[in-house]
Amino acid sequence: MAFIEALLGRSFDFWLVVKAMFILAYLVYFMFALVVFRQMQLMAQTLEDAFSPVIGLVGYLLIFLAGFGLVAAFLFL
Amino acid sequence: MRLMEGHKKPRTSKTYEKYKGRRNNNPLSSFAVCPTGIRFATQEEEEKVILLLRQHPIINIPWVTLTFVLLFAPILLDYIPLIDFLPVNFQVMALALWYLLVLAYVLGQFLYWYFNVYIVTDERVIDIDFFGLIYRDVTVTKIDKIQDVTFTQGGLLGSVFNYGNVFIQTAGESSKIDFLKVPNPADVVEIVSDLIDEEAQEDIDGRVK
Repeated sequence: MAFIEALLGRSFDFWLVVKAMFILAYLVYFMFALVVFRQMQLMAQTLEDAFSPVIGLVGYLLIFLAGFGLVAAFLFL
Repeated sequence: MRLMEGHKKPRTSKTYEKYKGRRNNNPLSSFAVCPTGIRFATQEEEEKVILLLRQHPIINIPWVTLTFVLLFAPILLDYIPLIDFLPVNFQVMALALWYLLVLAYVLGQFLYWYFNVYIVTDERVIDIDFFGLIYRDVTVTKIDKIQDVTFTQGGLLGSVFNYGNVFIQTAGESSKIDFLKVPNPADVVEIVSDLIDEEAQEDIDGRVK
């Protein structure tokens, strides 16, 4: 840590960097959830059956969990 | 007497009538005969789905097993202090992210199995493939273009659980459609053969489609 501070010439908050990495990870996951949701919609359009609404709900759940995790990363870290 | 051009006789597929007694409407089935409530993207109005096939559920065992391992892996953190250097709130968020990633893995594997389907209708054979959730490949061939239908079934699992590969040789641009690791491959060949015979008979009868 001291080495990094000496290199940067300023104080270095390690945990701020770790927090930023967690937020970035959750953000990437949220973007991934959006892509997966869009692909699930495409799949459901290709093949519609009784299970399609369930798959749609799972997609919404995935986005909700990803968004919740992202907000939690901002608030609790 | 040939029908006037533009007049279409209501179509009833003899093969559909023959097999609809074996109807299976289970949405998670990998061998659904004459399923109702199913529509695919290019399905015509009077076109009837006779077979909806997926790979045999046994092929899901590897990723299901891996899922259980991943679910219980964090228990090892009690013995291997990988994230003990992090504050408690960071550990909780790390665990949450781990389980979200496992959820994404499970969802991806399930969607890959569920939506990679083979459909046999009274008019066509359709192979729908999704690659990596991003790319979609749909191969369609008409029943009257099919030249040859064969199947292979082998290995311990294939014999015990009755699944194999069905190969459909066509005369069109897509020269071959393969149904890989589908249940009851002999029944699939029988149904497709019945459809080929029905198309040939309709050609002889001169029925307008």
